[in-house]
This record gives sequence, structure tokens and C-alpha cells, in this order.
Amino acid sequence: MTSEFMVPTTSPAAEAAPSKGRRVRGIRRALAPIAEARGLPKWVLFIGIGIVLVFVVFAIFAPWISPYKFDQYLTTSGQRFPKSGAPSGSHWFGTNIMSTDVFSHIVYGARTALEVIVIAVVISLFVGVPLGLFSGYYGGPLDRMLVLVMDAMFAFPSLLLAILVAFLLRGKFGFLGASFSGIMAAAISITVIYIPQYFRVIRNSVISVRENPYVEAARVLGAKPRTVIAKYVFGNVVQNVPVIGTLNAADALLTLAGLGFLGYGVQPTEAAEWGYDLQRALGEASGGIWWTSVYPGLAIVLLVTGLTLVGESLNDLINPTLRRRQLLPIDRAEMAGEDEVVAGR
Amino acid sequence: MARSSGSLPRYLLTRLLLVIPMVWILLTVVFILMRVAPGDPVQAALGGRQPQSVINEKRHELGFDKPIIVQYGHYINGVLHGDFGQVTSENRSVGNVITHEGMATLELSVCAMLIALVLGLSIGVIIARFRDTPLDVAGRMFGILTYAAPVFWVGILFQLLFVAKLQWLPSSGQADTLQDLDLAQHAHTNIYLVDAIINGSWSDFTNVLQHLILPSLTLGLLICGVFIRLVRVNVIQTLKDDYIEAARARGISESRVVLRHGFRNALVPVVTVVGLQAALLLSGAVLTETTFSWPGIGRALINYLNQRDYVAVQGIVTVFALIVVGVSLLIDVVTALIDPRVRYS
Repeated sequence: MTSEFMVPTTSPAAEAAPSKGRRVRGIRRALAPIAEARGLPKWVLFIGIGIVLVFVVFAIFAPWISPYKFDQYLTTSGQRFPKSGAPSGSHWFGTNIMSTDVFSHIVYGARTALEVIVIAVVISLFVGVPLGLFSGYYGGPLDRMLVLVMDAMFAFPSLLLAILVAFLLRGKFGFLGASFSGIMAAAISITVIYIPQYFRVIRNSVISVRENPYVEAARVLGAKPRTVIAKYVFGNVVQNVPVIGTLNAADALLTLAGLGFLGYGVQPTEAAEWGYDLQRALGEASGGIWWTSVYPGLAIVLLVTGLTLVGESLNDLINPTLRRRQLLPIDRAEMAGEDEVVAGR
Repeated sequence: MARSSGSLPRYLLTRLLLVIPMVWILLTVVFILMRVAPGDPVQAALGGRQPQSVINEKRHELGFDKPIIVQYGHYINGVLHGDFGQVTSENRSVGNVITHEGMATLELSVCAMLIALVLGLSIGVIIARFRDTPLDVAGRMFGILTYAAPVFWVGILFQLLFVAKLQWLPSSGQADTLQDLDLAQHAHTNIYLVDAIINGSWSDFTNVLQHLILPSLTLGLLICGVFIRLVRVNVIQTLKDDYIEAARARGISESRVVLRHGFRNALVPVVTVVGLQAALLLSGAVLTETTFSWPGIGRALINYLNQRDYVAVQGIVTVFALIVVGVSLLIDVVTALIDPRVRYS
């Protein structure tokens, strides 16, 4: 009973002849817990999605929503904006120490944030998941080596790792002669943190999935390792990815802001970035100038909270050990391993 | 797995042996990162226009003219003997940075960890006891917020409130100038709080404490969110166990069941996570120290990075890596001692 709802994506019969319709049905079954959700978890999920959507709208339509450009410090008549000016009719959230509009920085900052998040999550997915799949499936010395390296990377303070990589990527020469835009460099620095996480989660679930009878059956029937991984293993480990993905996206934003705050993020001439704005606001805080720091910080908190709410409620809904159902007691010993995904983060 | 592998000494030995490749990988990664870094460390350390002969001399002095493999051997050998190198931009050793700035960071981290544990454990247990009530929702929201709010933003908010508005606490530094001088003259451990007690100076003690409150609260809040989530999930899981049901059946009050029966068994994973937080603590310390101008090792690292002092950066990062590995080893040993199941798996 337990294994059936722990791996909702596939039954061997459905996967044996994967037509398009069946695949859609498989996805629908994986998402079934979300549709079935009632009460609090569902609301939490919707609130989270709502918050994220607001920032997505900000990001896409930034030039139309924002009253000024992010690096604009002159009015159309050539007059300079006030420096650290209090909120007013023409500057809703005031202006900062660089004489730019705080509200415009919030709107354009959403664009920077989402660009970096998407690039970082996509790259770490494309590196971490295949590595985890192959490492877990084949095992052997390469697997052990990879585990050791990934564990070392995972154990290391994540922000410091990102700082070091950001430090290497910037500079006149760039890493090994390549040059990156600020957003790309920031995204790559963040990627380094998350690859080990996908790797670990995927590898660990591959190891438990590959012992299943249907995987063995596929092997006995003479399926190539690639086929086995793609058709039988992947579908059963992939349900962890959306949860880690959204939670990592939240974390990635915090890392980006941290990098920006320390001066190793996106350069202020390239794009508006909330962490950098907070660094500039730091000196004014003890003087009581609040609008330059409160608003960018709130933007970070809101977006991170939104992403976390989505990730958390996905986790609550998809992870059977956390799901509350009217069921007979479950064999917990069997599930203890599964729960590591939750406890780790 | 063979029966004999279950013995405690054997487990500890295996665990200890695993540390060696981990440390080696980390050291090597740090070394390689510092060698591929853009720019010339010697030139950067000496500043702008220096005759080539001076640069060459310094380069020779630091051993940068030797083959890379010799430098690598020199570095590993130094670390093995507890020598982390010299700060190029200042006339001091990295060891000196550790015993001074490191102690400031230690003071901050320990206080932050204490705050996080007290807050996290108590809130976690309470909201687990009142699961799915508004109190639970509020507690979980608080947990998410502490995680979602960038640590430097929380620091800035505290500065706005307690420094600018209420003027209760100082905004930066580890002590006021007078106390700072006094404590530097009569240093024993370089941990200001401890030194003030040893010196028996009440004014020093209160001054140091005043400076410590905001940074440690800021850093503590960052970490307590993790504990809240973890304790809540674990207590809830433990409360599903049969022996809890048995305790309830015997008529023991619910609070007693939660505290005496549920909480104790939910604590084991917390010990592990305290260890995992060491990395988060170090990352958070870098940001907190920058926010409050706390003269700790994280701020020193950022300073040396900005000055491109690779030797100092390499040394400090090495120390961080050793701390992380050491703490994780310590935690594994403690876990094995208190939970026999770990040894057998």
C-alpha cells in the first residue's frame, strides 16, 4: 500500500507503452494531491502563487509599471532627483542615496531577481539531475567520488562558495578568459550551491528506486541502461524536483541579495538589485532614513515567502509522510528514508 | 552488513577516516580556486605602480615563482602543521587573524546559536502541540519569515528601531573605543565577554553586552527558523508513534506527553541539524558582521577579498572548511553516542 502512493507518477503498466495520453494522465496523477487538497494547504499554495505572480508581472512589464528607469536620476527637464528624499507624490517610496527612485528599483529589481533565479535553477537542474541519475544508477567508484565531492561542496558555507565563485567570474579577465554579464555571473555563482542538492536528492531516490521489481524486469527484458533510466527511473524520482526547485529558488534569491549586499552581485550600472540597494541603505539606517532599506527588504521577504509557501505546500501535498489523510497507520520505518528530503532543508 | 561493523569504536574509526578525503578535497578546491582567480595577487597586494624587481622579490618571498605543484605541497604541508600562511597586505599571519577576529566571530556565533536554540525549540514544541490551530499558523509563518528575511535586512531594521528611533543600543562595533582599548590591553582569550569577566570590569562587560545584543539577535533569528520547522515536524511525527498512544491511554496529560515523551525523541535529529547549521552560521556571520561592523573573521574575509589578498583568503577559507568538517564529525560522533541506531546503519 505504501509504495503505491509514494510513487504516484507511474505504474509499470502505464509506463510500458508511454503514449502522449498516458503521459498526460501520469502527470495528472502526480498532481492529483494538489487538486484534492482542501483547506489550509490549498490556500497557502494559492497565496504563494499569487505573490510570485505579482513579481512576475513586475518583471515582465517593468518598463510600463515603473515610473522611471532604474538608473534614472534626472527628471525630463534635467533636474536632479533629491538625494535620499522622503516618499512623496512624485516618488512614492522616496529616492535613495544614488538619487534614483526606490519604487522603480523595486520593479526593475524583480526582473533581475527572476532572471537570476530562473537561470540558476535551470542550470543546476540540468547539471544536478543527470549527474544524480547516472551516479545513483551505475554506482561504482565514480559514484563514490562524486558523492564525496558533492558532500564537500554541500558542507561548505553556501554564501562563501558563491562569493568565491563570483569573485573568480568577475574582474577584467574573467574566469579562464571568458567574460560574463553580471546576471549570468551571479546566476552561475548561485548554481554552484544548488547542484549538490539536486545531486544528493536524485541520487538517493534513484538508489531506492532501482531495486524495484519493475526496474529489474526492464533490465531482464534487455532494455538499455539509458532506456531504463529515462523510462522507469526518471519518472519515479522526478516528483521531488518541483519541491526542491521552488525552495531553492527562494534560497537563490536570498543568496543573490547576500552577494549584492557584499558587493559581489550584479553591478549597479547593469541592473537594479535589491541586495545592493540594501548595502547602500545600510549607512543611512542609523540616521533614521527608513524608506531606502525597508522597501527593498520587503520585496525580498515577499518574494522569498511566496516561493517558500509554494514549495512548502507542494511538499506538504506531494510528500506522503506529511500529508494528512484519513488512513490507517502507515509503516513509518519504511518511510523514514523518504523524509530526509524534508528534514535536510 | 556484517554484525561486527556495528560496534561504536569501529564506526568512529570509519567516520574519522572519511574525514581525510573530505578535508583533502576541500583544501585542493580552495587551492585551485585561488590559483585560477583573476589578477595577480602580488601586484594587488603591493598596490599600483611598483618596479618589476620589487614585485619579483615579493613574489619570490611568497613562493609564487615556484612551480604550482611545489606551492600546493607547501600549502598542504603548512595546513598540516597548523600554519595557514601570511596576510600579504598586512604584517600578520592568518593564525593571528583566527585568534583575534576569529574569537569575535565565535562570541557572536555562540550567542546567536543559544538564542536560536531557545527560541526555536520552544516555539517548535508549542506549535506542534497546538497543531493546525491559529497558533500553529502564526508560529510557522514566523518560521518562514525568519528564513525569508535577509539577515542584513533584519539587522538594518533593528538599527532603525533600536538605534535611530529608540536610541537604546549602539549600531556597530564590538565595544566603544574606551572599552575596546581596555580590553585589548588586558586580553586573555580575545573573547571580549569572557575577558571582561576575567578582568572583573563591570563597565566593560555591560558595554560589550550592549554591542552584542543586536548582532546576535539578528543572527539567532536567522537560524531559529530552521529549528522551529524541524522540531515541529519531528514532534508531530513522534506523536504518531505507538508508545505515545500508550502514554495517552495511561491517562498522562497531553502537555506531559508532548514534553516528556514526544520532545525527547524528537531531539535527536535536532542535534544533527545544529551541526548542519554551522555552515549557515558562518554564511550568516559574514553578512551580520558586515551589517554591524563587527570585527569578526567574516568581515576580515570580505576585506581581504576586496584587497585581493589571496593568501589571507586562502587561509581563512581553509579554516572555515576545517571548522565545517570538524563540526560535522563532532555531530556524527555525538549522534552515534546518543542514538545506537545510527551505528548500525
